[in-house]
Amino acid sequence: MNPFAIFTRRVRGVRVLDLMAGAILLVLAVGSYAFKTMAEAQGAGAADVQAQIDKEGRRIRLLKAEISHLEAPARVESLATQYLGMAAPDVKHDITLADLPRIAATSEAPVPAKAATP
Amino acid sequence: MTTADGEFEGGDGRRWRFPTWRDITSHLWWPERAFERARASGKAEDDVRLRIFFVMALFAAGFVTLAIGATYAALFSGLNVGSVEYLKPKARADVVDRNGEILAMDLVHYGLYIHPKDVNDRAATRAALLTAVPGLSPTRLDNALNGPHPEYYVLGGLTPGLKARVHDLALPGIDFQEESGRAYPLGQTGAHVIGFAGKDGEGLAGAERALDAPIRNAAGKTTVPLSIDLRVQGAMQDELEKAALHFQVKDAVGMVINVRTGEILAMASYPAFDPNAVGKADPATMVNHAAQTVYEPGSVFKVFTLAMGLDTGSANVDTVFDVHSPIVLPGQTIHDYDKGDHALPLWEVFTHSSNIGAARLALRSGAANMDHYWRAFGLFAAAPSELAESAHPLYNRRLSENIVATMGFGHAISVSPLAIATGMSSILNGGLYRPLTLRKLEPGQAPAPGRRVIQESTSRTMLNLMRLNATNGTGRNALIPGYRVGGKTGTATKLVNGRYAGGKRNLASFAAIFPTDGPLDADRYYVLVMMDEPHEMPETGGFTTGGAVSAPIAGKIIARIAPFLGVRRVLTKGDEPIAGKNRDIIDHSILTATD
Repeated sequence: MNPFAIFTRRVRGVRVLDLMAGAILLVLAVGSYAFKTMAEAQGAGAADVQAQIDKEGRRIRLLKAEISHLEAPARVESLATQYLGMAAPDVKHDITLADLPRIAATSEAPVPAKAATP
Repeated sequence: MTTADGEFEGGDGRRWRFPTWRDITSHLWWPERAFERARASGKAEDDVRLRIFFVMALFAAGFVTLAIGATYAALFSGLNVGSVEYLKPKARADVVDRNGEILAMDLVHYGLYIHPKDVNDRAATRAALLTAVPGLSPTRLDNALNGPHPEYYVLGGLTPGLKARVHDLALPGIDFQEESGRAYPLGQTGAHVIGFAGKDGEGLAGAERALDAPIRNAAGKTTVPLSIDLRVQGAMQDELEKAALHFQVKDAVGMVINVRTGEILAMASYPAFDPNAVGKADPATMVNHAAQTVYEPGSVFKVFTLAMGLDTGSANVDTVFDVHSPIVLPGQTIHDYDKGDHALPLWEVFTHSSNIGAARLALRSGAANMDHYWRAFGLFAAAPSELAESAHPLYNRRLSENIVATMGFGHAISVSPLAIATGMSSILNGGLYRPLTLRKLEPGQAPAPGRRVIQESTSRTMLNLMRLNATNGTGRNALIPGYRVGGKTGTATKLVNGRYAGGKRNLASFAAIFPTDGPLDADRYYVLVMMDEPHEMPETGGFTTGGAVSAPIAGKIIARIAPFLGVRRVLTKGDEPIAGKNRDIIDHSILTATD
């Protein structure tokens, strides 16, 4: 079979080649339209997600700023002093495990608990 | 050469002629006659097929290109809307401390706008907005609702929560527009060193100005870490402010520096301000006294004098100075606080803070040496810092005998605390002068090379002298057992209207270093406390000196920050201060310690 016959073969007076070209054109047009529509829908969805990400990002930044403000050393210290009566520890209270026997030796011996009366 | 038939002959023997009209039309129609030529050659069908195939291929390629372009445009256009805030020219990166804690950041705020023509019920809108938005000016609101402007900016800086609250009121004629604002979540903590940026996104003070370009360039990409340690900054500033309030000072300065690397770990100036409300701040509170103000420092300067004297070989620690009688110079007489001293070895000149002894050492070293060393320590220039606020010193350029003697104990020259800290760091880090920096050095990153200004042996001796002064000298109130603290006091009588005021108007200073032991190139921390015009208090016995006022503050700061800095407590010689003023039992071996 001569492959070039496709250029001359006709169906009801119309060349097969023209029919094929028309079909391809139709498929391309419909495909482009469908693809474009689908892409637009996808794009809108992606934009929504992006907007949500941005919104959440801003909220996170705001929360970070709030945490930073709430944990500010000056604020924490002020609250601890005002409401809990706390203060910076004296340096002499900073000990190591090796210091425990020495401290125990200078402390009063523990008093045994009284036996419970029936 | 022209031949008889109108042709020309070239040099190579070839003949040619001008083209005729027939020649031109023949060339133009040559492609159109391809079919005739193909038929003449017996391959007409092949030629047509090839043409059709070629045209189809071109159309197909066009369609495919259009399809790809349309699909790409549909899928990927308009998706970077959320990122444009970082592309705005005013955007700035987050500034964090050396441990990643946020110090400054851009936050999206909202501006509230009113379109009066769209407002249905002005009275109801007015009432609803005043209730919902705290701080809203009624006058401004009335101007917006009743004025001629089609759109009126009523209030900026609305948080997302506040914006949502107003939005939920569903009031017609109300509009919001995004505006980026710089937020400083820590408020007054570190305000001077962090600084602030303007509404146009330009850094105006502190690190925001000093590192403006890096902060802008890093916007949307990464954070900019400072050398500041927020824990150290918080503790230091807290102790400084408590003391400043207690002693009712005019102003105060505190600094903490790693002398090995030159990193500024904390810097505070009192009074402080809130960088979130710069417009409402008193301008006087916005001055960073640590960098912007120059002070006559007083006896802390003896650290420089002794370093010069020792380094030049003008004296050693045991060289004896006559301090029995005042030094009489043209126009001034140099006295000591009367401690009954007659002759003091140099180390005691330091621990007694003898003005006469320091002046004699300065005179013995000479004007040329003072000029050389003072320049080397950076005392004759603004501190080479990233901070634009770094102030120039005030001093007499002619180093007369009078000036040399007076500068020897920290008068006749006014320098910024930043310059003092930079110079003293070079004395206490092994002898290398390097500018202090606000930029964090990553672990393992080498500090700037530095310029050698004194010998290592001089640096070691100065560390020992500082230590001895804290254990047995004027700096005893800063002694924190276990942290091997050294230091030097300074009490400078203030100059008022060109005359030294005398009395209690002092600049009380303490320059501390810890730990004083260990290798010269080890991490070592410098703490500077300056209290300007402290008032007399009972617990200081009425004294307003550096030893009575500032040394205890430095001690408290060291006790709080040492654990953050990884300095362990190790009880060593001199940690239990000798009671009273019995100087006979000083542990002299401190002076000869080698590491």
